[in-house]
Amino acid sequence: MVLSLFAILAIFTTIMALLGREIQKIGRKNEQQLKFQQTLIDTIPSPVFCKDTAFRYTGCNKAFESYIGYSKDELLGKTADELWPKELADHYLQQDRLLFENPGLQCYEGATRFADGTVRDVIFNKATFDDNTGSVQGLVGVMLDITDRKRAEEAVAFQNILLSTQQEASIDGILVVNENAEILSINRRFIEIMGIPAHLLEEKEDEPVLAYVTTLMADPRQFQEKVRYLYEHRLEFSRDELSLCDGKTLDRYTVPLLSPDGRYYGRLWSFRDITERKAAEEETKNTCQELLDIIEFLPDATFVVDKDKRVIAWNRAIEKMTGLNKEAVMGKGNNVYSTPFYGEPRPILIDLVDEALDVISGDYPAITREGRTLFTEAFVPSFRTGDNRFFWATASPLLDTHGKMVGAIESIRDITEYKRAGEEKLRLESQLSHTQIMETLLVRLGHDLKTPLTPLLMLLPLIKNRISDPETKKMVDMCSENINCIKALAEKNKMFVSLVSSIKPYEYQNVTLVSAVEECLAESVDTIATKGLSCQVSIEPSIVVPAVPEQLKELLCNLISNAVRYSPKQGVIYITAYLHAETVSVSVRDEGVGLTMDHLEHIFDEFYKADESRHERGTSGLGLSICKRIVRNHHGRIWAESAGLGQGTTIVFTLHQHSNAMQHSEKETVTNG
Amino acid sequence: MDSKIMIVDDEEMIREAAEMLFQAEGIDLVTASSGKDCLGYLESGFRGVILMDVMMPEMDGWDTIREIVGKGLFDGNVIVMLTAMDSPDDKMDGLQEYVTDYITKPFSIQSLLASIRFYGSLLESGGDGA
Repeated sequence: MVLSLFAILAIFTTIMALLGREIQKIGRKNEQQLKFQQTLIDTIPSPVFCKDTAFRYTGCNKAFESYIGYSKDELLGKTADELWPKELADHYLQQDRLLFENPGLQCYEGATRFADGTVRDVIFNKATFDDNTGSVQGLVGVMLDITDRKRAEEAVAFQNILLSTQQEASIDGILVVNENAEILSINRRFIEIMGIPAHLLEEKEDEPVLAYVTTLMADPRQFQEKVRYLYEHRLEFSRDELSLCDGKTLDRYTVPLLSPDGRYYGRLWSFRDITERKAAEEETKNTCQELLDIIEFLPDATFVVDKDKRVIAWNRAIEKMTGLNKEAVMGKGNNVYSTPFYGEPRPILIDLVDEALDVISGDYPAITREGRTLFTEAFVPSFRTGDNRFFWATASPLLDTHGKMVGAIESIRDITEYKRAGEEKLRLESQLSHTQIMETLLVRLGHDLKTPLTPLLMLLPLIKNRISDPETKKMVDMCSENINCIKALAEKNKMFVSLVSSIKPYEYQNVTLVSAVEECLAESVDTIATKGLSCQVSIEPSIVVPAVPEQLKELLCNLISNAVRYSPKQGVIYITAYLHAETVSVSVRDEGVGLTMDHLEHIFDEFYKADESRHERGTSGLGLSICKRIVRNHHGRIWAESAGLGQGTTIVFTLHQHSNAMQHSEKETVTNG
Repeated sequence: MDSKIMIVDDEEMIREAAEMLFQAEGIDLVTASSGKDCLGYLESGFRGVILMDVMMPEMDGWDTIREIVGKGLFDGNVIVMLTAMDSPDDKMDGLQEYVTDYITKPFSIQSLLASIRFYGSLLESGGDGA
């Protein structure tokens, strides 16, 4: 540009010199040629002017007229101080004076105000011209408007500053190379991340830097291959992660530098140190996995959805509850999780965590909310196998650190059995209460019967002694028999009720079985003799059982008196004990009336009598029930065997042989305590 | 007073039945309808076998024994408790040493007479039941 300006100036100076000489030589003889020359000057777009040594304008072109806002005629003969403000005029005169003092070429920049009012940056190129004697005749000046160029230069400079500042301020290490892979720029962060030694940077060669960076890589070969590949495939973008030997992880991003028309100028490489982020991600991933593992093994059926309601966790318990395995639901949305419960996809509790309670209560009347967690019970008819089930469910939103909802979790518990157990508990409590009332009544009745029975028992024998009529005596005997029945019933009641409570450890004593049997046989000795019965006792004298002596005696006496009662005359009663590993079984067998299958099932029930019309006198119907309670209190078993009516009956019971029963009872005591 | 047997019971029927029974056996019987009544006879000089009902209104059998002992009227007597209770009574604590026997209601004539004759002879021989 400057060269071309000087070329114009040289041409113009030559022309002006020629002009001056021609004017002098030819004068007005060749006006046509002068006109041509003026036209030529006028075609020059830059303002051109000339002055004489008295600083007066002696000529100019059209562009100068436009610039100055005066016509050439108005301009000629005037000096700068007649045309410009004083400050500008002084400057122009000073420059002109300098040029005349040092003839030749002059070039300087300056701001000048154009006639249109704009202030523009201009380069003034001026030169003196001589006459044929070499004396300076004046000067010629050309003004070159460089305002646009200056602005463009400033814009470029600004862009450069912007880019370099961005590079330096970037948290990424940035390396820019040209089309020959030679380094154009490296920012401070790149040097920090890579730890590049200063001497490598001073050399400003790319190969040593690349070689150094390669040594940092955990897999240098792969790194080099990728770099080579990208230099060979100039248009490709790439983003990947680099693992360094020192444990760092870098996020590498590279783009080609392309002009709008696709010309390749080089490549920009960006490296970000993501070591901490990776570690945090890894930790988050591990934490997340731990949470998923915990959810997996939660005993309650649990699942988790993301913000798009897609299932991201589905634990074993819910697999078991719903029959849907993970593969069938993971990653799926559209309320897939509700199908096992309602047979169709529909919103369930987990979908309602953000809803107002009054909206949810339509579907879940028992809904409650604590904080952001919902709790409810739901009845699901025909769940899976067609059962009606009760579920307890809780759902809560999952929030990120900013409190934004990123998903939700729901746990479901099948409480059907619990509900049924609750109902059963109520029923049993009611039954227990009823039983307690009955027992209290029985105790009271037993007690209250004793007082009125006392005078009866005292007086009836007296009455009998005082009458002589046999018929009346027979009636009194009948009364006595019935009074004795009532007395026996009251005593059995008392015994039965006393057996309700479990045995305390200190109540156990070691009882020799055969002695207890003989004691009971002695009580029935009269009846045995009357009926001509014989007893065969096969019990090892060494067998000792831990038992409450009174209860064991009651048990044996009941069984023996039953056997005596139901034996035919001259019958045999067999009392046998068998030793097992930990228990002793005792059987009492008679040759009496026997029992049917129905009787076998019921004879241990309270007040059950094989004689359906309950005509059997002298028995309470509680004897075998008492036996059952006693055996149960001793943690044994009791049952009846009979081949049928007329085939005799065998009652068998088991007891612990040694101290097991006592230990068992002690354990119970500890547990209860 | 020559009688050696006293029954203390608030039930009139029992008292009367006992009276008839003992009369038939030729034994004189003093009947007391309350603990207070019993103390009255003792203060009047009764010494012998006392058949004491446990459950009585106002002053029960145990309260009566406590009074007997407290008033120094125990010596020369044998106390047999008549009880319909099935389990030990908390009120008897500390008084068992003054009770020679317990007969559970309803009792048989034989067992009652046997007891009375035994403890009566015990008293006549100079011992006491305690």
